[in-house]
Amino acid sequence: MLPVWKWVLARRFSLAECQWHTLGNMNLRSPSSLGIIAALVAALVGCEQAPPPQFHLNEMRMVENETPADYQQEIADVLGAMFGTPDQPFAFPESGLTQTRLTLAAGAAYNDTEGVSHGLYRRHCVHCHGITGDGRGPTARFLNPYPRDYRSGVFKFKTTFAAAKPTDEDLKRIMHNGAPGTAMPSFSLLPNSEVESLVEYVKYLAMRGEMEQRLNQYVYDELADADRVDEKGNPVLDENGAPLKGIRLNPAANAGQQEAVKGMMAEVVAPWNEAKDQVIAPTEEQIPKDNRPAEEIAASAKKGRDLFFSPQKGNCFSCHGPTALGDGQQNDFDVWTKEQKAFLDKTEQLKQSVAERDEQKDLSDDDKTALERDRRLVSEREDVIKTFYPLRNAIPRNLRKGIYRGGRRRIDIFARIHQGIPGMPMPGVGGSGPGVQGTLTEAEIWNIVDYVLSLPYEAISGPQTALPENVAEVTK
Amino acid sequence: MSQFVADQRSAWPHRWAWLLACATFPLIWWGGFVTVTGSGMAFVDWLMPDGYFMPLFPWFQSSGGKFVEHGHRLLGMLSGLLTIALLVSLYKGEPRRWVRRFGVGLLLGVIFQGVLGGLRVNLDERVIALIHGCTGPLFFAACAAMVAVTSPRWLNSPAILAGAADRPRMGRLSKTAEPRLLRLAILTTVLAYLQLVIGAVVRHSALMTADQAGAVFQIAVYFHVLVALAVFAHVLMLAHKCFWRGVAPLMSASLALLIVAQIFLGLSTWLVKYGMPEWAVATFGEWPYRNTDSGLIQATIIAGHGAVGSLIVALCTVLTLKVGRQLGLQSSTRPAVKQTIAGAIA
Repeated sequence: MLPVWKWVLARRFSLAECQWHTLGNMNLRSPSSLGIIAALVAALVGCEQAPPPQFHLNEMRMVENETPADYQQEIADVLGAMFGTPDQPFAFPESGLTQTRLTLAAGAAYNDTEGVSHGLYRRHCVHCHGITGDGRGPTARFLNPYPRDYRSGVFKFKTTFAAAKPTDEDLKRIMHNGAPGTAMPSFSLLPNSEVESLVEYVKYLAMRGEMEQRLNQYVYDELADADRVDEKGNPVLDENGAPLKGIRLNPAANAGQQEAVKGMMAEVVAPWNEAKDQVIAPTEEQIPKDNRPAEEIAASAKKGRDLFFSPQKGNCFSCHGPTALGDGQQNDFDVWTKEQKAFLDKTEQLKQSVAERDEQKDLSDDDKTALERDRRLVSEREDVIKTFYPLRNAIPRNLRKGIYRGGRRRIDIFARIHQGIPGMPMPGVGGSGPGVQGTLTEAEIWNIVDYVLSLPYEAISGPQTALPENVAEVTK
Repeated sequence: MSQFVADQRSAWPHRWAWLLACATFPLIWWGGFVTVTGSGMAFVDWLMPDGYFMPLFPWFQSSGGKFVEHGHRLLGMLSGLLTIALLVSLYKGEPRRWVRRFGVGLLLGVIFQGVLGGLRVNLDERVIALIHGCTGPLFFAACAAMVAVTSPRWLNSPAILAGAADRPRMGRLSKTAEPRLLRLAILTTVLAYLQLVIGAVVRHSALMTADQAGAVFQIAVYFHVLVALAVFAHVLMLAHKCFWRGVAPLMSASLALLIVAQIFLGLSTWLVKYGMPEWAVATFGEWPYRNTDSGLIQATIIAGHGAVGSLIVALCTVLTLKVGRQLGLQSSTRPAVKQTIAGAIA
């Protein structure tokens, strides 16, 4: 006990704000020692309490765009002004988000005296999806698949067209049902109001992430290389008389930037507000009835099977495999991993280029400057790469397991086949928008749905379709 | 000496100690429920939940997090009251001074644990929740130790020992404890507790928001798996040796069964919380069940994993004491054998 005590005292003495000097003379055997030890523990934790969590910028994209640190700070400031902090989120009016719901979902987890739960995201989601919604919570490294990164605004399981955002109902459904076969559990025990608050917060994180990306691109395209001008529009010169590059990002003081940011915001928000108009609506007459006779289902499944194995039509077998065990192509990636892989590949190329130039002896001053710049860039990129989780291939689903991550209703499977799975190699075979003709007709997609749903019950080797010759002769 | 002590002692301390241990075990379970269901902050204040004097809070009218958290507080209060009753009975009928002091230590322990729980709420600090989760099982192990040292068997051990000496030897195994066994018992207890602490880090670091939480979680998971193997081997070895040496054979057999159950509970905890890891999917296929957050199955398995871990620590502690007791008594009759630790325990 004593060494711990000495360690604690030594540690505390170094902090000016903690006045614990008198504790050194305390009699540890006295009955009051317990209370003091408890207070000490509290002080220890209190003094070292972690700062409130902050949203993080997407380092990979910042480094990819070579966004300087001061611009990164300005982007963070603009985002902070628009979206607030993880403890105090702000729903700007144009977003269509409800401030009350955001407030309930954000911040520290606690229940008020009325029994209302606060901090829902931190209670239920943050350990996987992370504070920023980047899918990098503490547990994420061990999960399969990695948790969703909301910041791109791409969601896999939804009933809208591929390019559209999910509806609130889509997000609620995945929360209610979970994603079977993954670490995403069902939150069916949560009251509807709490689920709605979490849906709102997920949308908020997605909007924030998309806005960050747009601001980063705006800095890259419009500000970083532009000549700096003063308030009167005259170019700002450095001490050598050369024009200074780089316009600061400060929408509050720059009407043009303010308009640009508003425009970006509208572009981010509009797809979310339009999602309900982008729902795939299968033709009523073509939706198979629930009480179809077995023969009809079998006939439909047979057509579906032909489409499944048709290279010109469904071409499903090329990924899901000839046995539908998910043993087709195994080397593709989802879009999130593709982005990381591209970053890795580019870093490797840059490293090689630096190594080659290092061996050259007669470099000009400009070349040496460029080499130094690239060397620094390689170092920055390698720092980002260290934070990557191991890249994983997007393995096609084993359709014989009967585990459907996006839901097992026929309409869910229909939506998956019609529009594919956004962000994944799974393509859609339906039209890309309302009224657009796709590779397959709706009836054909329903046939594949029937076949897919029958796969868990179909023998892998399959019965012989034709009778053996001698048996056929006997039965003539 | 022991006959003299046995004549003076009351049976009540042992009874109260049993009651206390029996009340503390569900308290540990319930504490696990509090963490699993995220109910730790169901009240933002401690001692006066929502302005009520704690025992008067309408518990049965509450629901959700408040029901879970207040249940934990009530059980904690019950443990505190039972500790006071135990202490009173010790001072009334226990002649051994060190046992009475041990009782005082238990009272201080339960108060400390309660204050820690309160600070976790009042400061809303996850690190204190982690410490609270680690000290709870320690208190439970101390309760179990109190049950052991106040039991009639503890004082009547010489008779058992005498009987053991007369029993035939079974192969190479001696029918009595030996210093190596005590070392094994101590090591196993320390390992089991260390495993519990790592488990608490796994559980709580996942819910922390600091930037380093992910790294802490990952390291803790690897250590948890590694130490699990060590604990599994040590517990089985300890149980095996104690069983065949006649040191609490029933407890040894229970310990062996519990460690096997604990391994299954640990695997189940991961599955119901995080599903199948990638390497397991490649071998066994996808986790076919849909987990429900804070569902009964998930909460029971996860809380059960923590509670069984505590039970293992408690049983290891008691087994260590029993081994030490035997050794101490042996050394008192055979002074040539140096067994300082054993002597101290006895």
